[in-house]
Formats: sequence, C-alpha cells, structure tokens
Amino acid sequence: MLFNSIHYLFFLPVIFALYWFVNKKSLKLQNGLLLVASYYFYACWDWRFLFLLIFSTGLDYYTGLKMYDAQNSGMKKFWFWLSVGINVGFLGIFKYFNFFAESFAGFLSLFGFQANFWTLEVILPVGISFYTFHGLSYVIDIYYDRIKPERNVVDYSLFVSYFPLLVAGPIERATHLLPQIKRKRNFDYTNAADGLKQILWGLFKKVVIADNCAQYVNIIFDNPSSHSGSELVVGAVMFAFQIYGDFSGYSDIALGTSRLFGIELLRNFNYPYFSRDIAEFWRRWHISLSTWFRDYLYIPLGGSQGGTKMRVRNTFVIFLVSGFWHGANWTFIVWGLLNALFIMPAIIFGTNRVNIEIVAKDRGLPNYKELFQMFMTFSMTCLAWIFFRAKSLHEAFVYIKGIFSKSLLSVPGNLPKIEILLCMFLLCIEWYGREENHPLRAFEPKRSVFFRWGFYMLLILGLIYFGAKEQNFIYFQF
Amino acid sequence: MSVFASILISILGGIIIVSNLMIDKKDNFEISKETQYLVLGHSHTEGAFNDSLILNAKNMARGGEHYFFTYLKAKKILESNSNVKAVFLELTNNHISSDVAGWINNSEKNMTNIPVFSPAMDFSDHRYVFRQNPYAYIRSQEIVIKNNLNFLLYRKKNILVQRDWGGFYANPRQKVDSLLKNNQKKILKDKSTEEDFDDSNLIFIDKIRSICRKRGIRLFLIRSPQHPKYTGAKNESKLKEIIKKRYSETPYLDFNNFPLANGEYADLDHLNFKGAQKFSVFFNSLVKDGLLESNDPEKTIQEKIYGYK
Repeated sequence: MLFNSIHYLFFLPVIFALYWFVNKKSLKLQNGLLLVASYYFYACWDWRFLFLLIFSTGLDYYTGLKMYDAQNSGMKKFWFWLSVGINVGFLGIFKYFNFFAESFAGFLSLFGFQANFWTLEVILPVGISFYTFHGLSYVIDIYYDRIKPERNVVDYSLFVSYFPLLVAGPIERATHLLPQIKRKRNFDYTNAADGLKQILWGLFKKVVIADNCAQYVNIIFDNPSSHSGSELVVGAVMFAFQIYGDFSGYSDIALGTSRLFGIELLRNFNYPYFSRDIAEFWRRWHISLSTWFRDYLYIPLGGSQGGTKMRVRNTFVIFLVSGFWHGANWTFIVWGLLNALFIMPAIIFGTNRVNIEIVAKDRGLPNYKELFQMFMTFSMTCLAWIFFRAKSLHEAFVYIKGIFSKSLLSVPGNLPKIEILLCMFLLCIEWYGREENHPLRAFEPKRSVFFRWGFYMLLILGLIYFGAKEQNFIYFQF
Repeated sequence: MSVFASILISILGGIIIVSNLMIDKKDNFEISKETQYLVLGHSHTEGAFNDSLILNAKNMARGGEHYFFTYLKAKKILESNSNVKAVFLELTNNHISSDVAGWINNSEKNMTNIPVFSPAMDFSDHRYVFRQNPYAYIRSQEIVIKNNLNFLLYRKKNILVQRDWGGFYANPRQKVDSLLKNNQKKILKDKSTEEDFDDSNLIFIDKIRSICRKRGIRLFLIRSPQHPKYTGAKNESKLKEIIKKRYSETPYLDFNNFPLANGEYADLDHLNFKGAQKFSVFFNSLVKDGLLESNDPEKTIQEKIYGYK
C-alpha cells in the first residue's frame, strides 16, 4: 500500500476514526488497533513476509527479556549475539547473498577460475533494512543497560511494526518511541491539522517533484552515452531532486500521519540541500540512519577519541557500511566511500561542526559565501548521487566521463522546463520555511487564512494535475 | 477543516464543470468536411472498417466501448458536423450479452472512458455513469481535471484526436488457426449463450436513433464479419428477434457471413488488417453502387456476398 494511493486514502481515515472515536478510552485497544493496522499495511505489500516481520519482532522481544534476566554476562552476550546474528543473518541472506556470491565468482575469474555459485532467487522483503535496525537498536540498548526490555508484547510489536515508519523509516529508537506508545494520547486538533499539512507537503514532494523528475532521469540514465555533457548534468541534478522529493516526501507523510495519532517520530530530513559543507549535509540527510550509525557503530569503534587516525578510520567504516546498507551493489559502496572522501578534510582539520544552525538564520537571503558553499556542497552530492543511481560502476563512470566532455558547455536539448520550474518552486518554499519542521508551518501565523488555504489548494491542484502514475518510493528497495 | 474540505470540493467541482463547458465547443469535435458516413461501434467495427478505403467515411469505433459512450460520441459529433449523412452503428451478438452490457460497471473501463468523454456529457449523463460505478466516477475526476487543464492550457484542438475517440485499428494478429487447433471453449472468453441475455445497453441505440431522426441522418445497424466457427453467436435467434421487433424500421446490414480466409481474421470475431482491407473495399463498392439508397439493402448485401463468393 503506497502512501500516495487510493487504498491509503481510505485506510487512514478509517484507522483514525476507530483510533480516536471508538478506542479513545483504552490505550490497550488503541495500541492493538495500530498493531493490526500495521500488519495489514505490511501484508498489502506481501503477506508472506509478514511472518518474517513477526518472527523478527518475536526474536528481539524474547532475547531482550532473556538478556535482562541473564544471570551472568556470558548468558547476556549469548542472547545478544543470537539476536544480532539472526537479524543480520536474515538481512544478509535476503539482501546480500547474491552480491557476495557473484562478487566472489567475479574475483575468482580474475585469476582464471570459473566458479558457478548457487544464487538465490529471493524477493527482497520490503523495509527489511529498516525494521531490522529498529530491532537491533532495541537489543543493543538493552545490552548496554540503557533501557529495560519491554514486557508488553503488543507494545513492543507496535514499536517494530508501526505502519508509518515500517517500510522506509525513519529508524526509530526504543528510548524515543516506546514511551510514547505506553503513554496515553490525547487528541490535539492543532497538532493533527499540522500533521495533515505535513502530509500534504510530503505528497507534493513525492507525487509532483519526485515522480515527474523520475521520468526525465530514467531517460538520461538509461542511455547516458547518447546525451551531451550538459544533459547529463541536468539528469544528475534532476535525480538529486527526485531522491530528495521521494525520500523526504515519504518521511513527511510518515511523520504527519503519526502525528494524527498523537505520536511524534524522529525528524529525518532538515533541508539538506541548504547545507554549506558535506558534514552539515550528513547532519541533515536521513538523520535517523546517520545517528543510528553514529551511536551503534561510530562511538563503539572509538568515535572521535583516539586522534585523527582513529577518526578517519571510523568515518570510512561508517560511510562504507552506510553505502552497503543501501544496497547490494558496488555502486552504493563507492557512493559511500566518495562521501567519506568528501567529508575527510573536515574530519582531519576538525571543521566538521562549523555549520550547525540553518543557513541565513533570521535573514531573508544567503550571502555570496553561503551561496557558493551551498552550490559546492550540492554539486558534490550530485556527483556522488550518480553512483547511487547508476546500475553499475561502469555505467557510473561512463556517465561521469560524459559530463566532463566537450559537450558539457553545449545547450541541453529537450530541457525538462516544467520539472525545473517545479524544483525551483520547491526550493523557494523550502527556503522560506527552512527554520520550521516543515515549510508549510512557516505560513502560520504570518499569512492570512485566505492566502494559506489558497496555497494548500494550489498544492492539491498540483497533486492532481502533475500526479503521475503511482511509482514506488526509491527507499522501499532498502 | 470541514469548511476547508467543502471549499476544496467546490473548487475542484467548479474546475471540472467550467473546463468541460469551455471544451464543449463545436470546433473541438470537428471531423473532415468531406465525411458523410460515420462508423461507430466497438472492437469489431474498429478492426473491420478501414476508412481510408471507403470514400467519405470516418471510422470512430473504439475497442471496449459500451453503447453509452458510443451515444455520447454520436451526440457530439453529429451536433458539430452537419456534413454527416449516415451513421453505421454496430449491433452484433455480444452486444446483447451480459459481458458487454456490464462494461458500463467496469471500474477500469470507466476510469479510462469517463475522462475521454467528460466534455461531451451533460448532467443526466454524469448521473447515469455515476450510478453505474460511483467509485470509478469519483476516481476518474482526477484525470478529468488533468486532461481538461492540459487541453485548455496548451490550447489543443480537436478532442477527437487528442483524446482518442476512436479510429480504424489495423490489427496485425492472425490467430484463427491456432485457436481452432486448441480447444475453443477454453480460449474464448465470450460467454454468449441463448440464456445469457442483457439488452440494457440497447436504450442507447434508441437514443442514437432519435438523434439521427432529429437531424435527418440515416441510421444503419451493421454487423461486421465474424468467423463461421465463432461460438459467441449462440444467441443468434435472440439477436434476430430484437432486430425484427425493436429495429424493424432501421436497416440492418449484416456482413456476418462475408467470405474471408482464416488468415484474414485476427481471431474468431475480429478482422485483421488483411481482412479489413478486403472487407472495406467490398463495402466501398456497395456504397458506390447505391446500397444506402436501396429499398432492401439487407437483400442487396446478401446477393452481393453470394456473388462475391
């Protein structure tokens, strides 16, 4: 069930009505309803993998309790590694088995050996990377005595399977989400209305920006060698907007949906394309994943302690793993390593925390220096995105070679004018609202109700007019 | 919130109504001034009448089209083109089956057809199609808005072409031999039987007839050629009964037994481009020889078919 589908349009109000008007007096019933709704939501994708989700949930619930009740550290470690091993094992089998088999076969062929490895014909369960990391964060937090295990199986299952974040995040923490699940929720009209606006903005980014940019991007990336350098640049930029519109749009819909139920999720995007350096970009892009790697990988590896060499090593490891998390393809690994290279000067010279607040805070426009910094950062991310989008390393290198050719300065043919205007509109609105959680909040209370409502209707009309055929969110493949 | 929702629905409704009205202009539904004969129907007609081989004819048939949409088409085209003198409207075996009559309830078909024909629909038409399938009607309005705004913003002309209101389809298929080799009953989806009868869509033939009468246009019911082994013709006696009782005053031009080789059919009830060429040349010759002015066109056709063999 896609967020931008008619099915969801019927599903959400029904659950909302049952949640607040039927079950409002009972927290147990509310949580139970959300859990059933979440399983139904997931089953609409593929009911067979619902059993995997339930198994993963049950495994972490059980091992969490066992770890907490363990008599000695040996038993605690046993349950911990059992949970981690099985969770990562499933992820490995479904997502990475064929990659390793084929890569190893390719490696052997370099030495003249022909190896025929058995590859699995498996479908990748939707959202496995996300809910696996949910469970892992819970198990790791129990292991390090940061939290106590959740004994209520319904509450815990809801934490793992909560439908707004089930298939593409944000990756929640037990310390943040579980207390909200266990706490009585009161309907807050203002919060719910703001949630609806966030959903509207998310839908606009996904349906209007991402899906329309995708059509042009697919044409360019399907055959890069038949396009000029300038067209390839436009294609890379359009992809940057596609992936941002797609992923941040989904996150906005997830956050907005959750607020309808009185639950606040972790923010996942904070206007990343207004970043002045790569370090700032990674504090604003897919925040829940970055912080997950920081807390569960970077810090245990030593973090920033132990000098520059340690910091450099740990940073490379994080970006390597992050790239690998995104997919079983060398392109994602190179994408991760490229970002590591981009951020390295800041790590080495200790300038990675220079730009913390949003650019041009309390000012209307950026100065020239900030504009230049944003342009350079955006350009570097676009270069890295080429690897993210390309199907193979060869394709990515062909693409980049095509950019840096004589035709780079030629006028691009068949420029997607409408899509470019839409992207500029997106940038303008996001710039205007960059100091808020979502830009539509910036319209209140500065603008009159007529202006606001007119703007919302314009967005809805845009959704209808530009609404393309339903395309899956990019991050569903993770 | 409810006030916002009400205003939103009103605005969207207003956009639909106003855009439909703006598109509903004669020059958006014009066909060539030389066209005298309009051919309407579903996929059988779409694949049988190659209008490039029939003088002054225009094939506006469209596959999967329920008579309701054929009626809308006839209404609009005849209103906007006074040069049309005669209408050929397909009436064949599957038109009185529940399968075809049920097309008007089909969500997928409605969501395709409603946006195509929306500018041609008046209030009673909207009400009718809404009652058949409210879900499809509401969902299709999103596409109506998009299509209408596109049409107006980009100043397109002639909705007949832009929205694909129909036309000859040169079917490349040639599957009769393989169909006859396999078990027909397993392959044929047409469930036409003597018992499977639904004439609910024939009221739109009545409406088309009424439009033609008002405008002094001659209406001919036709049946395109079908393969002799076509099992969908089990309701033949029922069809003949309807033609005799309900359409006794309307000439029925029956080409069902027009001789064609297996290789000239796409399947058992559609012609391919070869069959269409042969049939269209034959039909053109009939029209040239005064078929439409004949006192007994049905008899003339059978004589010509017999002579053709």
